[in-house]
Amino acid sequence: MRRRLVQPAGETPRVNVTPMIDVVMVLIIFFLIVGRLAAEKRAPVDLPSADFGADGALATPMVVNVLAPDGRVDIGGRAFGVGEVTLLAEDRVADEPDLVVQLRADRSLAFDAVRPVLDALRAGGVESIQLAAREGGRP
Amino acid sequence: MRTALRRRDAATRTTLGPSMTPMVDVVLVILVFFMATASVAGPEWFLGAAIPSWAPSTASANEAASAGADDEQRAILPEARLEVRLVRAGGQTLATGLGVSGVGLDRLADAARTLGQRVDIADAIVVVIPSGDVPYEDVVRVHDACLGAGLTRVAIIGE
Repeated sequence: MRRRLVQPAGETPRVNVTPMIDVVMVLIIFFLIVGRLAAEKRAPVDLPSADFGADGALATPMVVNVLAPDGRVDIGGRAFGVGEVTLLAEDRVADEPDLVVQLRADRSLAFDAVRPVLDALRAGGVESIQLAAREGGRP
Repeated sequence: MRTALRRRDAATRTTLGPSMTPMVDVVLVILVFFMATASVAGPEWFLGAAIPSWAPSTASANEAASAGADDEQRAILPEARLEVRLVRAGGQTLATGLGVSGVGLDRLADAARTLGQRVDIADAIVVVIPSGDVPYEDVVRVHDACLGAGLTRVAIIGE
């Protein structure tokens, strides 16, 4: 017996939107997550804690990760020396005078490891930074 | 005849019943979305700080800070600059500034709160000057204490 493929009279064809919504949402989620990870490339840093912080800037920040006391920093997943940080900052400040720099430094480091990075940023034209911290819960 | 009617009833029930599969699918996607965004955002926030080019003064800025607690007129000067020097001694970080000298960070936080309650210091700039061996964690802690006391303009410079 052959199946009837002809639409019965009086019935309008319906489009099932559920799979479409499903696929679109999966794509949105994919691009959101990948885009955000690609933009920030957050390195795993053991941050100090703070009770009175604020949310970060909405604009795309320059995220500088200070992981070790060897004078090298991680920016966007790549290692840079302090001299290169100055050049990078100069380039970014030239394009964005209101550049926001987020400093993510390991809590166990001495200030000696962080100070050259601050000096390099200042030499690159950065006047203010945001120190990243974990929300509350000081051990 | 009865068998045919029964089959038709079964078919009707099948087509009219709500399909749970797409709903579960969408709900799961939404769940994954919130889980993923939560893990990406992370429990992280930020403390704004200036990194000025000027060197720390050797003048008695801490005397000005001490006086600020007693003399409101001096404390509300727009360019009031309160220095907090941090040194490492005896395995702990000691702070000098905001009216105290050579005290632990808890006492510095108390001094900052007291200062904040007694005078209008919102416009004052607190300059945190850590020595090189002070843990970065303590620098952030001092910064946090200043914010908690209402001192929102914090600068960090090295010695």
